[in-house]
Amino acid sequence: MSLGDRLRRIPVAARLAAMMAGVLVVGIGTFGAVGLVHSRRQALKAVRSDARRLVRSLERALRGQMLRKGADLGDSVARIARPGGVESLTLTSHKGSIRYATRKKVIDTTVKIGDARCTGCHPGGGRGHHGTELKSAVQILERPMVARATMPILNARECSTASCHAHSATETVLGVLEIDVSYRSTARMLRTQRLVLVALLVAIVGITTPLVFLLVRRWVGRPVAQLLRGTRHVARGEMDLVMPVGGGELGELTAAFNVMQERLRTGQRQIVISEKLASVGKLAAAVAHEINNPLTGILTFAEELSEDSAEDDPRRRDYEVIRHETLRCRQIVRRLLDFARQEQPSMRRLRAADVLDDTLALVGRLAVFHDIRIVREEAEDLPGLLGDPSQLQQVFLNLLVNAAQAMPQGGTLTIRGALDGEAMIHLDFVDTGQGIREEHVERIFEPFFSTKQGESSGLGLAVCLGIIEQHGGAIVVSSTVGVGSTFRVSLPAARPDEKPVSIADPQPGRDR
Amino acid sequence: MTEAKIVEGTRILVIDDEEIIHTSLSKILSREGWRVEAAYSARDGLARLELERFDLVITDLMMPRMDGLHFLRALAKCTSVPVLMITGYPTIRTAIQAMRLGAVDYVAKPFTRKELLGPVRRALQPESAENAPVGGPAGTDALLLGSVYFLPHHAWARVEQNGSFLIGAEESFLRATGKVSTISAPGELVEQGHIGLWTTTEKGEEHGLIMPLSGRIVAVNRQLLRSPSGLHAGDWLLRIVPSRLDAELELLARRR
Repeated sequence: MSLGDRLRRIPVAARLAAMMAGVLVVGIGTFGAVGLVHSRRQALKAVRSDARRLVRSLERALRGQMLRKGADLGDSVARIARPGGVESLTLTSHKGSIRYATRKKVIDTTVKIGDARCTGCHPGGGRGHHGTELKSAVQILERPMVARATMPILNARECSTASCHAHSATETVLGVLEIDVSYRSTARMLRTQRLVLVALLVAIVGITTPLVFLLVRRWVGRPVAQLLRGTRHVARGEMDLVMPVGGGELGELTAAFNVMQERLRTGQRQIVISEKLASVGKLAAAVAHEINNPLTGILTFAEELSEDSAEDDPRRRDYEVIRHETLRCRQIVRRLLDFARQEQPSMRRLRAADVLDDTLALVGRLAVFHDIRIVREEAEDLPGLLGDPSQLQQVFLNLLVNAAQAMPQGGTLTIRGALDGEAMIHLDFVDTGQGIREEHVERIFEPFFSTKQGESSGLGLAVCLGIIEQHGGAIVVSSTVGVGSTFRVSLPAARPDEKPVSIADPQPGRDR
Repeated sequence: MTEAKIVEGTRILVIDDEEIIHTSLSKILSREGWRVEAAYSARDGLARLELERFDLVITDLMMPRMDGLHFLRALAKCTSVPVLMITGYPTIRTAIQAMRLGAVDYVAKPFTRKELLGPVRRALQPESAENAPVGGPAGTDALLLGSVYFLPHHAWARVEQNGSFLIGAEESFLRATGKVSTISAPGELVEQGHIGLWTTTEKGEEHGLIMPLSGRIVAVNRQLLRSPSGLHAGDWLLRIVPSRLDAELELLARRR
């Protein structure tokens, strides 16, 4: 597996979380680094000016000390320098010899001319005065962590007039005061700051990344995984998994997926039925052709035997049974073939109400409708539809007769018509009959399924469904035992400009 | 039924590729005193017809090598003997076409004795061979109120209001059967190409009236069924709501 493939396999939640962590590290890291550099610069500037101020004050203080008779300069120096503040202090004469120092070892040693203390006046390292940079200077040293400040001690009148007569009036610079001021605490502060920043970064990344991971997994990963499971289910041909619908776009997607599944399920059922019908048709034709010749033989001989036997022959009844059952076989084969030759509809523009009017006018004459009250509740403004009037009449006739037969003691048959949105016309045939048992409801459209033992071919509703499906519609049934049944015929409404198109009718739209 | 014997020495040629059909037909027909000869292919049958005289040919519609319609065309060239078709149900459409091509009638397999004998008797009537079926194909002409479509030698169907049709017997059917004494009560449904009503003549013969259209019966002419002796070709017998009108009308002839 290539790296790309492996990366693609990582769940989206993990990828998003990793990306989030990366963005946080880079973002906060850059921001923090810039801040740190800035604050270090500021801190060192403060260290530098502190050191300068300190060396100046010390110079003034020491000058006063030196002028005071009998003062112990060494003692003063030792007192000034404290650990954490002034780390060390040296007082060097302009000749280079160290007079006082906090580190006793270096007292009376000589400083080389290249030393930082000398370069103020002797920039080239030579003996002569090349410049007189008679100001304080500060140098930041890394190891040890100190700011090294130097201050030249200039000659003054009181120096040469002092009682000690240590300096003559001709000298300019008497010596150099050098102190090392520690900035360790500042450095520690900076380091702490850096540590805090890193800790903060780790904390933010450590909290947000799993949070993002969990939320994405919950809001995206889980519904997507669910959809994936659903899709695989459907791919395997199982369409019974109804998924819980969440919120947001993925929720809508899940809802849409459920609807799609439902449609697929209906479509599949219809395909199964039409395939069943098609194969039944082929089978019927083959069976009929093969079976009709032997049936002819059986029928002839049964009739012959029956007629030739004496009136009191006990077998006469048996021959009659054979004859009768052969006729039943013939009827079954004929029904089969009848069903097999379903015709293409020949479409024209019509109104469902007109077809219903015609059908009801004929149906009223049938005995089965004697105790049935027919109520019509159709919306007045139902749009027209494209259909085959004789086929639709056949469907309505079947549904009406079925409804009447379901109410042998009489009852009410209500016909409702309504428009659903702009696309479908629903016609409901509602009876107050005995209802259909739940286990039968799913099966009543199957060919050869009948609840009327022996009285029906079991093809009426299958043919109706076939016709309505050829019209692009559907029939659904809902029923409660003891209350009644509703057969809903849904047919697509014709668009105002829609012209009938039919294979069967070469001259569409022509009035017959 | 002895009086039903038409002429001694009536010869009938049966053409079918199945032995059992020959056995059955000869059993039924020889009981009536007719002589039954067998041919097992259309070619064989044509050869016999060229050499011998027959009063009636009964032939299957679907046979290997030459089907019934080709056979009818070939037969029309050499002889004027009446032809009765027998057919398995899948070829009802062809059977009706066969009647338009000159067959006097047809019987669907499997048939009962009376279903076979009625058409055979009608076909053996001297005038039956003369009136070749007439009327052009119905086609997809406009369906006008009052238009009459018919199945030759059997029944007509007239366009009525509300999309229903009235059905009555054809003149030639009534002429061939003779005076009708009773008419059987019909069922709920009728099918094109199948017998929908039985008539019994004064001679005691039974004749099935083949329906021109399929559909559900919504009314019957009760008065006529009670006293059918005055049955006339113009009388209606049944009112039906057709179930396969478009496909079925094409098969019928139309009276102009």
